[in-house]
Amino acid sequence: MAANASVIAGVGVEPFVGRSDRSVEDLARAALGRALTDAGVDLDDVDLFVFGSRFEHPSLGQRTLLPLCATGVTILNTENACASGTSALEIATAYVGAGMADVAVAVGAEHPSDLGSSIPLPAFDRLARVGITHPVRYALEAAKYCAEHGVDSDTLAGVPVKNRAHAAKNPVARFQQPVTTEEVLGSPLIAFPYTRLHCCANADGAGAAVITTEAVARDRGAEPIRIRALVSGSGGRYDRRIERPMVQSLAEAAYEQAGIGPEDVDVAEVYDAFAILEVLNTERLGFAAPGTAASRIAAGEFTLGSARRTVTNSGGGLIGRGHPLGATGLAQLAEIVDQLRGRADGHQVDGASVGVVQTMGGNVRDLEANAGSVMVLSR
Amino acid sequence: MSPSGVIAGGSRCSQCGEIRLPAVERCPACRSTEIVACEVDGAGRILAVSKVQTPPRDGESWLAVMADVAGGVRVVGLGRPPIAVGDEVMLVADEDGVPVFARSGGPNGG
Repeated sequence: MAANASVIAGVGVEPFVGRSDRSVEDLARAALGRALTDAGVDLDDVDLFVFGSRFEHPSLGQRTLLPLCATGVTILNTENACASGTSALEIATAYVGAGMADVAVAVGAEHPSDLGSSIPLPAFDRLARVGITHPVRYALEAAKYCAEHGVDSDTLAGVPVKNRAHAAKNPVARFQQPVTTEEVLGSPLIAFPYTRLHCCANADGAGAAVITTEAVARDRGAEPIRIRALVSGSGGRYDRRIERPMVQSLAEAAYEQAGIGPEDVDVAEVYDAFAILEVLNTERLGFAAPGTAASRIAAGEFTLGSARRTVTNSGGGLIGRGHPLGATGLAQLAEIVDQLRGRADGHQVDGASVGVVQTMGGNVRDLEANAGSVMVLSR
Repeated sequence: MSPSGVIAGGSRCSQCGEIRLPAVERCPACRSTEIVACEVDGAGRILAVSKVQTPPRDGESWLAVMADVAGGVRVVGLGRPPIAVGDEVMLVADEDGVPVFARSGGPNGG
């Protein structure tokens, strides 16, 4: 659905770290404060809070807002796997678009260092019971891609090399050091073709965004970022060949809604929980033909400073930034807003005027994805 | 064990014959709700193989596989070595509801 009336007035990210001594509520409040300051909006102006998290205890929003004495208005909490933060943003955008809220804040926060090194999988998950965890599942997807397209699996290392190089220039990213192809291929094997560095790591962190009308944003002195398209969906069953992948469908609909094509996109956040996802999503977003993205990424395309559009994951992506599940969608959004406002110091894409945010999440194993969205933004 | 080489828990549409695994209550192909439970023939072809180091099984690496089996049904399961992309496989076991495949023929011998 179109959400033309809603704009992004401000964003904020509390830097992602491997392990934070602060509580998830504290991280959420910090991101919330940053976004409100960015938008020039007072806490008391907010009439809707939407929180997104994957593994936090229910009612994260209420617990976060309690010490701020900011309850009384509508507080919603949403869970949609790794797309939880983006789903919170979608709900906030829809409320403002429908006139049900004037100033909405979406907050995503997660403290997964409490969970251990890998995300927990439920007892009813038959694949998890035999060891087929998410990295293994996506390693199979990578192996299938390489077999189908005759791609050398070593080229997948181009994804972490690019994203870690970008993350090293992004102060909110967990990983501040770049890595080489040799380091990627030489790090401990998880499931062929993945080593540890092909997979995103957990991080503790939070992100937030203020969504309001253009009139309110301008009144507060915030530069509004227009939501040209926001299309969301869920994946189909994965017990047959997927004829039309979810991300491709969402991207086509989003481009049509925005009246642009993929060639018009300057900068994009492409969901990259595992290297193959960035490769597939780059193709499904129309930035590369099927079977070509891995080689093109490895050859240095889509990288900051590359002469050709599009730069992908200029902020480091999930692989470079770390992945505090519910916070990721809002960190993706914040990166694109910073790019479009020309303030992504050290990792700015020159002249960026059109940006895309693509998020997805999955944990129901027989589905292609639990949820996904594609957003087109511009000044 | 599944000595008959079939995977339990599937469904077949009485109207159009579409087979799905796990079972559906409504056919995604023709929208019929006349569905009967069925077993799915585990004979098929390997699309992808991954040697898994983490988590290990009994301290050793092991093989995860993706295969297309009878009726175009795509499954993820375990593989018994030697097994490679393109191999014709059959179902040789069931481990806690997850199919286990072994080579029955194909480009890499059988």
